[in-house]
Amino acid sequence: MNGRTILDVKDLSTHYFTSKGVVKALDDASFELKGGQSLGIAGESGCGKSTLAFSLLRMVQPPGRIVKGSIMLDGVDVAKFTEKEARKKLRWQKISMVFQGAMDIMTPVYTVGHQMMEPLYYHKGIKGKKGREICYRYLDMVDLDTDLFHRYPHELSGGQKQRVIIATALLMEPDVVIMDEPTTALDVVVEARIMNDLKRLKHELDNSMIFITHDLSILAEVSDNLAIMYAGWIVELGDASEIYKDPKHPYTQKLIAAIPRLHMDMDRLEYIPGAPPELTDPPSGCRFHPRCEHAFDRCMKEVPKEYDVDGVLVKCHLYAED
Amino acid sequence: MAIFPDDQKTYIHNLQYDISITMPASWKYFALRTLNAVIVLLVVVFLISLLFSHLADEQLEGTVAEEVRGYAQGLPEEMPVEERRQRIEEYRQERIDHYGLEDPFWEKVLRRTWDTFIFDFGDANSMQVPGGEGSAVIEIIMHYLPRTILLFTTSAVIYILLGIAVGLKAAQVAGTRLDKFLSLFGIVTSSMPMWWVGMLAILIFSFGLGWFPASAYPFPVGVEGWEYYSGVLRRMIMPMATIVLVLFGGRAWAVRNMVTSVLQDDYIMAARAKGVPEKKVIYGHTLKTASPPIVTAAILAFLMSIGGAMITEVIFTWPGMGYLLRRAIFEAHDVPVIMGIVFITTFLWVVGYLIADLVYGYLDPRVEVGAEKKV
Amino acid sequence: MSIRLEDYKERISSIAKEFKGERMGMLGLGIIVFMLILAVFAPWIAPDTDGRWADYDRWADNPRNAAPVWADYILPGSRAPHDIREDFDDMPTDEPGLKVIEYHYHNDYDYPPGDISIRVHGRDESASTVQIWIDWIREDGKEITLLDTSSTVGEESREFEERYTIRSDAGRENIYDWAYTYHMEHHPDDEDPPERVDPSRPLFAYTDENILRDPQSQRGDYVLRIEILGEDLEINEEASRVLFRGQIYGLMGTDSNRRDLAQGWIYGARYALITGGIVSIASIAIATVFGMTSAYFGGWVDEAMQRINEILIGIPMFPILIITIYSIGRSIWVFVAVYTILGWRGLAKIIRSRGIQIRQDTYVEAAVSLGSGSGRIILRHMVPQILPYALAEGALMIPAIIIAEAGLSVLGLGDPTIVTFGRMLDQANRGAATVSGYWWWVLLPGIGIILVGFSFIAAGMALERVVNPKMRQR
Repeated sequence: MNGRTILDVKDLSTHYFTSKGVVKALDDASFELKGGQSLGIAGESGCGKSTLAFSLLRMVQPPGRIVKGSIMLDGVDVAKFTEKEARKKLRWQKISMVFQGAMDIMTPVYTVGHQMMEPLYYHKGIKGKKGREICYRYLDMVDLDTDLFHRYPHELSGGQKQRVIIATALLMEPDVVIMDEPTTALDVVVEARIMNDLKRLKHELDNSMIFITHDLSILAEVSDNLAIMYAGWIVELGDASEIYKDPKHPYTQKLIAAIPRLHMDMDRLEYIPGAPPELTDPPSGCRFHPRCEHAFDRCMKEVPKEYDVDGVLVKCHLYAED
Repeated sequence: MAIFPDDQKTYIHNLQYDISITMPASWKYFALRTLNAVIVLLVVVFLISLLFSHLADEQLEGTVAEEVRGYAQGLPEEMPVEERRQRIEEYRQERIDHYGLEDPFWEKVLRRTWDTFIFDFGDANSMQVPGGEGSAVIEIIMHYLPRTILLFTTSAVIYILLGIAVGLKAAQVAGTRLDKFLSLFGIVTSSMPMWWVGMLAILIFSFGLGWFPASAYPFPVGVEGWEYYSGVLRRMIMPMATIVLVLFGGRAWAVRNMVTSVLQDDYIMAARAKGVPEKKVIYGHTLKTASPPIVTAAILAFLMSIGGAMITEVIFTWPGMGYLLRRAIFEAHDVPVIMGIVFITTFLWVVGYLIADLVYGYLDPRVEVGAEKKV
Repeated sequence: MSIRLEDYKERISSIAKEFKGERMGMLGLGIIVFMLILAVFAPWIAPDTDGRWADYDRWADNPRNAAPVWADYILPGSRAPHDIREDFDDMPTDEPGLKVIEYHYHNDYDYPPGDISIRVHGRDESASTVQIWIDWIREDGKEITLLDTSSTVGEESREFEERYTIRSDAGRENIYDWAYTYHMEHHPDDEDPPERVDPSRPLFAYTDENILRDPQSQRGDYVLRIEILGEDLEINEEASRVLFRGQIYGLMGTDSNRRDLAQGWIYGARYALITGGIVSIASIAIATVFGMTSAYFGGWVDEAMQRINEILIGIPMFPILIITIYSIGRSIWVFVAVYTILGWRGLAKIIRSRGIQIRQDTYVEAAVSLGSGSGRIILRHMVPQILPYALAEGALMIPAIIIAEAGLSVLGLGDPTIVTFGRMLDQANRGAATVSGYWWWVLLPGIGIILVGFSFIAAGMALERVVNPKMRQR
């Protein structure tokens, strides 16, 4: 599986048609994901990260919908799936997801086991002892006691719940696992332990992964490639270490400078002035220009193209050849 | 419409709070709730006895005077005046002692509290058991209670089922016109007195169209079988339709809100993402999670509607508890009967409340499983 | 320790701004303001109503069971309005001591006046009795003598007074006797004629076969002539009058005791706002103090307070209201007191759990660690947070309060000294308004209850949405 392109997203746009106007939550996103690779997606809250994840799962809730683009998964465009096809062929079969907010991610009136078995039953018809054994195996894989299988969610701690969710996301052996802020609801110690587990799982398993977070420092450890999102756009996309070392886009530069590092003078911690734009009425030209210190005339008028700079795609006029 | 709908919201809130935060072990939960119910009942009965003590005494004094007069008339006329007076005085004292009228105030209150608590309401002051012997309050109430239960439970079954069905539908189409209309309908009917809607129903369907009798009284007598039942049904349709019309909108609205709030929860999204069929998401994950508050709220709303429904009986002259209460208050001024009705109503309420608690505990695993198991 | 206005100002203005965007909330608020204006100015808009509702003399000049004036627009047929003739101009006569007064009435209605009432008051210095005739001269020239009587003049006062209505026994008899002759023309075999039509109807009807069965209104001019014969006659024009009592009256019609329901309605709104307002504000106050104290101190204080509240919550309101009002007295203030004593309990529970969240806010924790006094922290930091929320919940209580009060009225436990919507409806029920078709008497007070209830629910829910962002998601 390794090396082959699993997921190829082209010009994907998802808009929400609200009473206050059209929210362009995701515009012209393109990237690809190879087998066994992991992609990190970073950006401030409201930049479209979660919309991207939901679009991939075909779970955009009304009034939102995918307006443009394709999602090629194993040569099939899942963006064209009907709701029924998406449920039967896509969700959890091909792509699974670990949602953010571990506290109420499990239905309180069903046991852990019931909820783990659901995808096995509805997709493969596996139930009973056989299903239980699969679940045990995955519970074990995420370092959980198989006893938990019979428990109700409220009897689990936040960390335990999140591990169950991760185990559930893995047990159908999907091509792609999306991790949407997998650790934000947890305290720091538990967060670190789960991140270690994820790193281990990434090596052990064959899946491709997409990590979504607002915390760049986490991504450094787990992702091969990195996509930086701002106001519905992917503004920079490329090799993770390259981007860390030499961020090209002004926004990425600010974002990386804002990561607090050990031994650093706290007074000089960078922050980005201003607030992310309203996506009902995004700024003209480059959406980042009102907050960008390098902004010039062209930025206000013209939407920048993506430029290849040292193998990294950057959506910024600073790198225009013409 | 629940006559006091504010309590219901609190109740649900109260339960959810207790369960999610304190999470008592199941036996402790049940014991605590039962104890609570008994205390509430005792407090209310004590209050009834305390407030009604002087009124009940006044009526008993009237009864004593009546009995003494009867006794005096029964004495032979040739009896000397002195002896006559003495005999009357002795008899009066005997009656006063019999009723304990000269006992200390608190003793009387406590005795009444206990008697009421064990359903011993004594004799009515002036009312009689209809079509029967004597004037025992409990028998009078038992004569009227079945009609109330017949009307209430039939209506309740209809409006609760209708409310759940409509509420579920509204939740699935949340935000549409239909949903908004149902919400508005629920709010408007919630601010209507049920018995007033009954008055309108009489105006329209009895006066205007002449379809149904305006008064349920008298009940069909001297007929049996089909004729009796159809007679009862004809009298019952309007009060029943009134209760259903006024209450189902509020129920549907409450169900809709509970279901939509569950539908917004992340685990519903997670279930959908896992590829669980939509039917299972709605009738499984959503309804099962929402069922404890839905069921307890339905019980509560039913209890809460008792007041309004009793007044509705007055409007339709449906010969049930409400009709009896109105007569006891307005025409007969019969304190023991009023005390009896108030106690029975309170008793039904407290028992219903307890059932609501226990049902919640039974339906929600977060209560059933003890906190001590938490890892 | 004091509450500073600035602490509240900013929050209030931000809430007000958001509230303006709530359509239903603004509608509710509008209705509340309208009702408030009615309530405040009630003594001026509807003078002499409160306290005299049961005084039938107060309403003697009104028609009985008259529909609202707008009934003519929504129902078929036309109805005679209420027509009071205060003038008493006598015509010149040749005979000394004889006064003749004529009233012209133009009947242009399908439903002619329901009653004609006449009051003659005067003096005669010399005669001991005066003779009074009242005649009815119809469009078709037919004449009926409605009254032929002599009135005694007081020996001391030298005054006499005659009150007459066609519904009085004498009036009815004369009209039925007159109509009977026409009835017999058409139904010669009818030995026991129906006498159940309103006596006013044959007066204005065609003299056909239906005159006593279903009289049909005859349009045209009618004359009511009053002749008074004395010796030295003087009519007191102030105290004399003729009433053609209408089939429609006022904005809301009248009840069977001639009371103007519009005036009662205004007081109904007034008392609904007074009871609802006092109970909810008092409940909010008690609940805020109780809930906040419980939330602030936590621990065993909290535990004990919650146990007490739990027992209170289990007490049913309805039976308690019945026993207290029955035993203490049928007063609106007993109702207000009892409802308040039991009304705050649920609110306190909600406020406490919100209070616990606020207690954990960083700045409250900071204030605690800086050593601020408990009262100061509760008042300055916690109450401003909770107050809008408590107000919303308090507004949502109000419909239940008003419905409860009205319901008790129907059970016979209403306050007999004031006018409330419930009391009007109880009177409608006892006055058999439903089976007689007096729809306005049933409909309008009920709409009053709904209007008050709906406005507070709408405003309360809007406020709840504004102050509790979690509810805004959908």
